[in-house]
Parts: sequence; C-alpha cells; structure tokens
Amino acid sequence: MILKDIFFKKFVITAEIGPPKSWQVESLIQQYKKYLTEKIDAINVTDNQASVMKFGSLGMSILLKQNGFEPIYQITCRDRNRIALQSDILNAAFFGIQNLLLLTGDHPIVGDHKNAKPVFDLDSVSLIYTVKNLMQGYDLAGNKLSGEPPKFCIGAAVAPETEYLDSQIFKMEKKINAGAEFFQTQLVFNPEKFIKFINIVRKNFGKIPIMAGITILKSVNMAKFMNENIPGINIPESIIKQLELDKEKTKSGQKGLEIAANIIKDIKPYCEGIHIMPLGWINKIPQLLSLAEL
Amino acid sequence: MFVLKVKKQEEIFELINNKKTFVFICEGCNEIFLYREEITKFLDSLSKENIIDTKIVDYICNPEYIKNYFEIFKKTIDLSDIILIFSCGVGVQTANKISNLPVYTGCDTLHIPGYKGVETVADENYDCILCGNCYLNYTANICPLTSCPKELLNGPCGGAKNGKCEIDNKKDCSWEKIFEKLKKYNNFEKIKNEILTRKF
Repeated sequence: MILKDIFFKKFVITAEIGPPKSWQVESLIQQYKKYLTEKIDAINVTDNQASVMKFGSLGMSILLKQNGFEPIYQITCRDRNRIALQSDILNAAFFGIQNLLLLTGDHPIVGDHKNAKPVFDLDSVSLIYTVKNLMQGYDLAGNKLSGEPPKFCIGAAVAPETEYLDSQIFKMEKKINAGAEFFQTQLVFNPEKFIKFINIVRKNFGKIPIMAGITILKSVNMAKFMNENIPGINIPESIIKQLELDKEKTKSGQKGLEIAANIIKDIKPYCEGIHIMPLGWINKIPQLLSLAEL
Repeated sequence: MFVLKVKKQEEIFELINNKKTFVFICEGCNEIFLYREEITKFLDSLSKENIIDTKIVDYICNPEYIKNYFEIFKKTIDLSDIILIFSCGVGVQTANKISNLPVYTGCDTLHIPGYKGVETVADENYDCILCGNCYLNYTANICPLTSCPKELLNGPCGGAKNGKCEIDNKKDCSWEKIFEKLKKYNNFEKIKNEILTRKF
C-alpha cells in the first residue's frame, strides 16, 4: 500500500519503531503483531535514530514487509553519500517498499559514535529531489535508469511548534517544491499552536497531507528533559502540572495516555493523520487508540 | 599561491540586475592569483550608470581595515544599492558583517596551496574551505559550509534552540542568521527556487 492512495480517504495512523542494537530482530515481529494491529496503517522504521548505531532501517523495513506490515522506510543523510543513498533506495523498491521518510538526520556527535564522519553529502531537500528524479527514471547525475522507474510516496518532516516557524515554513516549501508528498511532524503538545501552523500550511501550500506527531509522556522528568534538549518540542506547563498531580497515575502511563488522547481529539479535524512515537511504550498503543476513539 | 576564479558573467549580471553597485577588489595577499583582466573586462561591459565606484583595496578580510574602507568610501557607498566584492570567501563574509547593503561575491575561491597568510590578518570568526563553488550569494554571505556542522545548503535542520546550534550551544545557528539576513533584504527568491548540492 502506498500512503498517497489512502490520504483524504481515511484518518491515517502510523507508529514508529526503533530497531535494536542487535542482529536478532525476528522475535520483535511477534511483539509488533500483538500491539500494532490493523488500525495501524504503516510502521515507520528509524534510521540509526539519534546517531546511535542499530539494526538498519532498510533491513527492518524489508522484514516488516515480508511479515505483512506496511513499512515507512526512514533514510537520513548522516551516514551515506548520494551514491549509497540512491543504491539503497533502489534496493528498497525491489523489496516492495513504497513509503519513504527522508530526513537530514542528527549529527554523529549526539550519538554513540561521536568520532564518526558526518557525511551530509545531501540534505533532506536534495534527498527528496533525488528520489523524485529516480521516480522519473533518472539518477541525481542525470543518467537514465534501465527498466521501469520505482514508485514511492515521499514523506518529509516539519516542526510545527518550533520557535522558528518562519524558517520551518521556508524549508517546508523547498521540500514541497523538491517533491515531498506528505509531512510527519515533530511531537505536538499545543493543539492551538498546531492549528495555527496548519492554517499557515493550508494558506501557502493547500492540501498537503500532515501527520501529527504524538507520544505518551512517561514522567515529569521526561517532559522537562524533552523541553530542554529536543529541538522543536514545547511541552506547556499545564501538561507538566497534570503529570505532577498524581505520580502513580503518571507512572502507570494512564495520565500520559489521557494527555495524548486529548491532543489527538483536539487536532484530528485539522490534519490527515497521526504518527505515534511510543518511545518504548509500544504495548500502550492499542489503549491510546481506544481512548482517542480511533 | 592563493587562487580565485571569477564567477560566470551572466551569474554576476543577474545579481546586479541594474542595481547601483559599489565594487571592491581585494589584492591584499602578496601571493594572490586573481584574474584582474577578467574583472576589468566584466566591469567595462556594464553600463557606467550601474557602477557607482570601484576600489582596489588590501585585506578586506581584516575587520578593522574593512571598517575603515566603509568610512573612507562612505560617500559613494551611500549612493549604491549593493556591494560587489572580488575577494576570497573570508573577505566577503567579513565585509558582510558590517555592511548595511546587500553584499555579493563575484568570485569562487579555489585553493590556497602552501598559503597561510590569511590567518594572521583575517577575522577569525570566518573561514573559507575553498570549495570552489561559492554559495555566499545564496546564503546572505554567511557560509553554511564553514559555520553549520551539517554543512546544510538548503535551509536549517530545525535543531536550533534559543538561537544556538544543537551541536554547540555556544555557537549561533548559522541558518537562523542566514534566514534573518535574507528576511532583512527580502532576498529569498534565489535560494527558494534552487535545490543546491555540493560539488566535491
């Protein structure tokens, strides 16, 4: 299934998984089958997220596809030059992967191999443009591909609650011009800010599908840590107070689930779907969906 | 030997676009290899009304020197719409910091084999990695290759926090600075319409 076929026909729900630091990944499939039920349209596979070396996103996407899931293959520009990126994308096409999320990627210095060479030969915009070229039958150097061009749905990222909305919208426009077909957002915690962002998007770019990023907050400390360390995240004091109110309810996940479900209900009429980043709490996804009445 | 190449004439024409232009040609470095003939030929091809003034100077990469030049030539600079500079990438970035007018570069900086002179006089805040394909005209004269850890050419990564870089919170996010400067001159067209890739 290619995501562009279902946008505007249904409210799209995707969930993110991070492969482990191991080659023995098959056992995870049982877990995904249990918690990522038929309500989940596609599963996003992170590409050595936060620059921490893990099982690769291409291998995991292939494994998911072979097990009946629909993967969204994430690709960053941190580790590979334009030759390796294009080659991997052709591999993905062969294995039936149709949905991509194209990102610049974190700098190696934030991860667990701090001395690694930061490649960044391309960036998110030029990678999107590269995939668009492949879809038209040409590589980035203008050479013709033999046979049929691959078919993909190109996803990109945007941060709607950043303090730098102007430059985000500027980059969003570049991504759309380069070929982005849908956007997945950084985590949403302020429905009002998100709706304001959506209004700007509609005014400037019309009906481009937007998937809102959602997570389940686990603790007050997690919320504070995210506010201080993760760019584009802005958890309001009112949410932190809710988490402080009943420590037991927060610890069990009940409070985080309620907060996330309320955010989903508030923003649902304004976007084309949600993207759940469970950050280890994959087992709580079915509960979240039922609380949010999805 | 410090080697510069003059950009294609049509590229510079497009930048000038009939605006009143003040030209700096920097010949500070003893070992500089700058195609003076090409610059002269190019400037001669422009209409006299376009070029308000042309000055050949030394070391515009030095913050004190360039400050003085802007004071000495204030009269003709004030009559101009833009500053066009034929110098290395460091010179353009240093001039850009103090200029109230949009600054453009007419050169690509190629290489400095065996040359270290620039380190002694130049503003240490700016660097030029001699990429040979100068992007300063796109990025409001702030070089993303030397000031952004990801060397991004098409916009910010979105990682800035309080204006600081996500990799080093003592450093300003160069793309937010680029964005501010582009906003100031409402000069987004060039970078919006082109998808830039590095030519290694």
